[in-house]
Amino acid sequence: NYFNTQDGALKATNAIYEKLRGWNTTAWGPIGLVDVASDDANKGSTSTDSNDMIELNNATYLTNNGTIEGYYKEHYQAINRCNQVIVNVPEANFDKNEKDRYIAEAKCLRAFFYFNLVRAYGGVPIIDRLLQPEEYKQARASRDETYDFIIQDLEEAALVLPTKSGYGSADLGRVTQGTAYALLAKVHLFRASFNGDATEYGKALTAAEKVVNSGEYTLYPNFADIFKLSGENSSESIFEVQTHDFEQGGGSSQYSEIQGIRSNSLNRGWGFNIPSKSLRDEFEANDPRYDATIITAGQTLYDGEVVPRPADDVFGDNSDPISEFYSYKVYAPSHNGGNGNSPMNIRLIRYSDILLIAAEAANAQGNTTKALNYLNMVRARARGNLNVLPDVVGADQVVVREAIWHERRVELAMEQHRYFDLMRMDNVVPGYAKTKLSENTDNKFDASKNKVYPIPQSEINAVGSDLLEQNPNY
Amino acid sequence: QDTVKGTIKSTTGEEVIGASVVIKGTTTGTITDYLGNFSLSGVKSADVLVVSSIGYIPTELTVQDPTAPLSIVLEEDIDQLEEVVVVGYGVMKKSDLTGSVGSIKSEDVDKIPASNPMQAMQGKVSGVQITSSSTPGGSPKVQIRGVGTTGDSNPLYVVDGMLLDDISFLSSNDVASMEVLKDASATAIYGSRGANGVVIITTKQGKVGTAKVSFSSYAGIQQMAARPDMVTGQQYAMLQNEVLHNQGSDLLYTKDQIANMGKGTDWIDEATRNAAIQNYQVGISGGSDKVMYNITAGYFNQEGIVKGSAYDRFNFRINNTYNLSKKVKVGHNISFSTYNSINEGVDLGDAYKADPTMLVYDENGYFGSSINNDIGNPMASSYYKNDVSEGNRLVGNVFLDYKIIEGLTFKTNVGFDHSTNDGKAYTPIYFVSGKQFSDISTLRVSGNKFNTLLWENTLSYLKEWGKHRINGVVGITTQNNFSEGWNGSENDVPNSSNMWYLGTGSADSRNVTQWANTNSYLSFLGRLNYSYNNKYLATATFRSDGSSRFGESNKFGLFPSLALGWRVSEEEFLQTSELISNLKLRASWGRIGNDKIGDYSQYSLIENNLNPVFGPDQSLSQGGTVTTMANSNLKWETVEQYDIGLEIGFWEDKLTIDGDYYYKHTKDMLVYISPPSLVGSAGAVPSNIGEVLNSGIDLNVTWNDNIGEDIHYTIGANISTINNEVLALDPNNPYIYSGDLGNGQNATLTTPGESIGSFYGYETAGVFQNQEQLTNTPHLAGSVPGDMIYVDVNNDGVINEKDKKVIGSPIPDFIYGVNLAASYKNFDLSVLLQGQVGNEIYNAKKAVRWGTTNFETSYLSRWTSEGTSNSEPRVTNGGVNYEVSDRFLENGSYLKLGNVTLGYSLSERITERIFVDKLRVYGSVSNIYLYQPYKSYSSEITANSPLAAGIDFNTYPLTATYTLGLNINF
Repeated sequence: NYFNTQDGALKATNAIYEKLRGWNTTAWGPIGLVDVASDDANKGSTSTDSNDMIELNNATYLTNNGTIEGYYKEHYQAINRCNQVIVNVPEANFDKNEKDRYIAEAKCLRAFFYFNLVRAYGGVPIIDRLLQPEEYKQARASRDETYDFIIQDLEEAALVLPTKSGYGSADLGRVTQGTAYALLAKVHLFRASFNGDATEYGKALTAAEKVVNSGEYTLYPNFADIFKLSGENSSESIFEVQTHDFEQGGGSSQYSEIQGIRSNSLNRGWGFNIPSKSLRDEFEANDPRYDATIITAGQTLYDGEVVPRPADDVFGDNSDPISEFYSYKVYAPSHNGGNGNSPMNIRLIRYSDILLIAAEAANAQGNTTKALNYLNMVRARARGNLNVLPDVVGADQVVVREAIWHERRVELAMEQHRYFDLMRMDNVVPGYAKTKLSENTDNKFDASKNKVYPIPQSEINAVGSDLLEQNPNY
Repeated sequence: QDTVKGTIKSTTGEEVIGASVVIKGTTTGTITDYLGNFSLSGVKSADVLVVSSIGYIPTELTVQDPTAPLSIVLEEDIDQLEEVVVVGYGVMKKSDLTGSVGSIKSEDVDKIPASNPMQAMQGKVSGVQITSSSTPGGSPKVQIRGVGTTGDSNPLYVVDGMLLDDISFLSSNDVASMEVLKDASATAIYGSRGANGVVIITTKQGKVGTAKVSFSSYAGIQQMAARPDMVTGQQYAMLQNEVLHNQGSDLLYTKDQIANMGKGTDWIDEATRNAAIQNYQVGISGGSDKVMYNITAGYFNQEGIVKGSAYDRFNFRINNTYNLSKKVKVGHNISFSTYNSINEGVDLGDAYKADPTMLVYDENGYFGSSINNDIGNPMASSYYKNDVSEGNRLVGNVFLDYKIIEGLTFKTNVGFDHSTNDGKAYTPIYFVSGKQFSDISTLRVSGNKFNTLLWENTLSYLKEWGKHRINGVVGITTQNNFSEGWNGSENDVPNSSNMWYLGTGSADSRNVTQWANTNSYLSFLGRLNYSYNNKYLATATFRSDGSSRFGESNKFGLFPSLALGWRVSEEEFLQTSELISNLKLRASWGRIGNDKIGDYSQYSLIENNLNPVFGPDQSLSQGGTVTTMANSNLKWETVEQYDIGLEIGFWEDKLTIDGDYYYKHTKDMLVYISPPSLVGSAGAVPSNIGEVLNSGIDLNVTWNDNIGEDIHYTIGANISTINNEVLALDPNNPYIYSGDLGNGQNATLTTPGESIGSFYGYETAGVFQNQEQLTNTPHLAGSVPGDMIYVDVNNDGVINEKDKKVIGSPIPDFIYGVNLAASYKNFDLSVLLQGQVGNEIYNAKKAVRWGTTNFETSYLSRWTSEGTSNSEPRVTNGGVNYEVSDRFLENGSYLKLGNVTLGYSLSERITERIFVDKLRVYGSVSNIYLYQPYKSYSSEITANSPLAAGIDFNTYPLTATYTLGLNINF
């Protein structure tokens, strides 16, 4: 049996990571569902390109939106790869520590995939085993049950997984104990927004501080450098999808290509996911992160490339309105293999994210001092040695929360956090999301419906609407 | 007076059993024994012997020397030849047949200019639906008696005893006869592979006699028979502006620009051409009573009517039989063919979508490009495409017949099918425009080989005593199939065809994968045919098949059948009837199987190359796991089929009617079901789910007569009804959605109560004329005046998935054909009309719009303001008007002139002078639509899956063919 040998078990574990480079798991799916759908970004590309994205941008999607369907489907395929390891490897006969680690990796990754699902769709069917044909139809679990399942996986994984420094260097890119705790902190913070339960905030803070106190992570000194090839797996990298531009292919993601500068040369991107005016306006004056996040047409990039302006007419025709703005965080300089073979890692969780979670959780518990301490660590790194971004002071809990939310937005902009965060914030302050999204006048966001995406119609067709109930108002 | 001894054989060297030998003018005579021998006493020199046997032309010969043994050859009587029908593992008198078998003869097969002989069956045999494919070298889609499975519904082909899935190697000129086995009595002998029907093909054999040379050829021109109507450049610009206006964007063209736009480029015209088709075959055949031979060589060449596509094939055949002794005969039928295919055709999808204001070439002679359409220049894509494939195939069998005792024959037969195929595709570095370019060159190569070995051993027994006749066969067969192949690709390969091999480009970019498959069968079979007094007939068959494709518990399947026949016309009360010359009733029942599902389906397979990147130097680590779920309980699909048949002849068979009612019930259908996403399976899972019913009537009527001395004619008509209904599917989820349009939409649904692969979507009820109507009518979110009105089927005030319903079916209600064959002196004429009624086509090429692409002329009648249109909505590039609906459903009925051939044979007076036996010239026209409401390339849409049939993306255009031909025999 394949999974009985260490070789097979390791390959099966590795296969889960391969799915992290998937089109729907980390590229097109979250770019659409988490960035384009939010107030941070506009759809981009040509005006007619991708009806799915237009629908996400304007919250007019129906239950058959292909991107919403793909996100659901590929996450379950990834979960199946986790289950192959979690179910089959315990029976295997090889070194127990190695075996336990593979299983823990699979559980941590399974929790990551379920966390995306529960945020996108609410409670979903929990599949923790390999299904036989007669078991194919499974009912939805509640949101709480789904969160319980995720938390259990993460807690079990955190006990077994090595720390970042505890892995051999060749294993760089695997999930670590830090990844598990970081996810746990995020999970509790999201869960708290639904029930307002102070103990959830406490658990979020505890998990976040396990990361802080582990000594494994520090803020990378130069914010802009994090998003260059040299900044891959930086000191603040907690969970990062590894990609590489092998000449024969097989190691890349289309993550950068989808969002890349739309032009004849440069990285020949498709030009989706354009930083919105709302996002650009969110930055404080002279925040160095503005220039690290946003490319402006006509600008010369760090590798010397000049970004064409719409007026430059680089296609020799007027068919492709080139945007004035792009995300700098995904810019992949010249690389092997052209289109679609980008070597740019995908930074899923950075240390600053966890500091801001710690800040938000502490503030929610009334510990404003602690909250400001974590918040100002992030601001201090952002300002570097410039005389900008002063420390936030003051003690009003609501004001501090607003400051933290503002900081999250500019610190993590265009990194596929925003829509989920926005829905979370809307739980805390009802009406918040509608206000933010209304800058896009075409946006039809309706909080009674769009706070979660519809379960794909094809899935309801396949399982039956009695077991798999559609989300309200779709 | 002496005793004359002799042997009587047929032209194929078979001993003629039971032939009568009579001294002319007397009643003295005898019949031949089972070795064809006779001895007749009382013969004098100069007596004339009359030799006759049913199915042969009687012959007379004068005895010169009564002591010398005679060797007499009887020629088959062409008129009576159809009395004998090839059935599985044997031959049967047609009068003894209890099953439903349709057949066509060689002269009907080689009339149709096509690479695949099955095309000739279109409109000729009831119960057989042939959907033409006009791709160069393409094979038509063949369905016998409806669609019994959601999987592979192709029939089994048996060529000279070799079981095959594909007969693209076979030249029409080599075919002697094709028999279609339709009911269970006929197909059950093929057990697990008979459920989709069986086509038995016999190739031409040598005959005893002097060597005869034959030459046949035709050559002609093919034209596009039909095409979609697209708007002109000017209309395109106008519609484009309207799209932009409708989505609130700035207009692209000024009024002046539009006014000066003109007709623009007709990309479909640019993509197609009048193309040549030609075929040549030369053969030599003959034989002695020891050796009979038929050797042929042929060449077929078909240019595609789509520029850049072409196919040619050489085929060679050697069919020999050797009579080693009176008891032992060996022989072989061996065919070798080699083909070459150029697949650089212009993409018809691109030609359909391309911007008509784009030029093929700009003023500088470079390929033109479009300013607002994402489809590149279709001619440029074809120009930079290099894609050829070629292959060889060796198919044949070697057999040995041994006559053990009278009536008992042992036959061992080894069949083989070996093929190799190679493909090579190269994309150079090129630049047409910012949207159409390749900045790396890529070579893709692939190769595969398929090997099948079949070994069959049968024992057959023929015995007559009194009024009883039995004809039986038992056998054991094994078959082994093995295939393997590889694919490779490499970048930076130089742009020179002699460098197009792996290894000439960048080694780092090289990617090579290999694959292999194997499966095997072990089968036991038997048939017993009993006839009493030529009146009462019974046939029983069984076959037991074991297949490696299924799990241990389901490995073997048993497939029995039983049939009864009553030749009413042999009863005394009809013997004297002048009206009724033949009347036979038949009834059959049987169970047959279908195992057409991939190898290894019951196992979980590890998918490899799921490699992640790890480590500071970012290298690949190996990954692999189970991604597609397996089904270890997989078993045969079984079909239970009932058939009632009637054959009746009037006025000495001047008028014949032969009809069948059939009822085919498929159970445990093999379905690849896409499990719910939550299962996490990357691929579909094979399952035995569901039941399907196919029922219908196959009817043939033929009128055969003369007018005066010189005109002989036959008019035949056939009609086949198809009633297809899914009876059951997975009870928890009886819905199979399919017909993926590639944009996230499914166009078909398979569900109980409907036919397989029914079209499923919204019913439309016009176009919203104004805001008030929109406000007061349920509509999809985002609808505005000018958008489609979808019917609120469940009356709940909202339009959603629940309002979708079955809106049509790709399966016709009936198919029909009308044939006329006539001869007048040296002229011969044949006409074939063929058509189908009652099916729909989903016009997917119109229904799927990826953005700014060209428009069919139907868009010109769009809604622009209140009262302008109530059928064609306002123009948009997507959105609510592109939901799956009957807006894109079109009438798929058609009637076409399948073929008209007019031939002229030189009279014997002339042929004798130029030392030829026969010389015939003919002209022929094929595939002309007489009635086709669907405005597109073809109403004949071939599909791989019955779940998604009748969906027209860009079907290769049906070609009308005009040919001139020549047949010469020396």
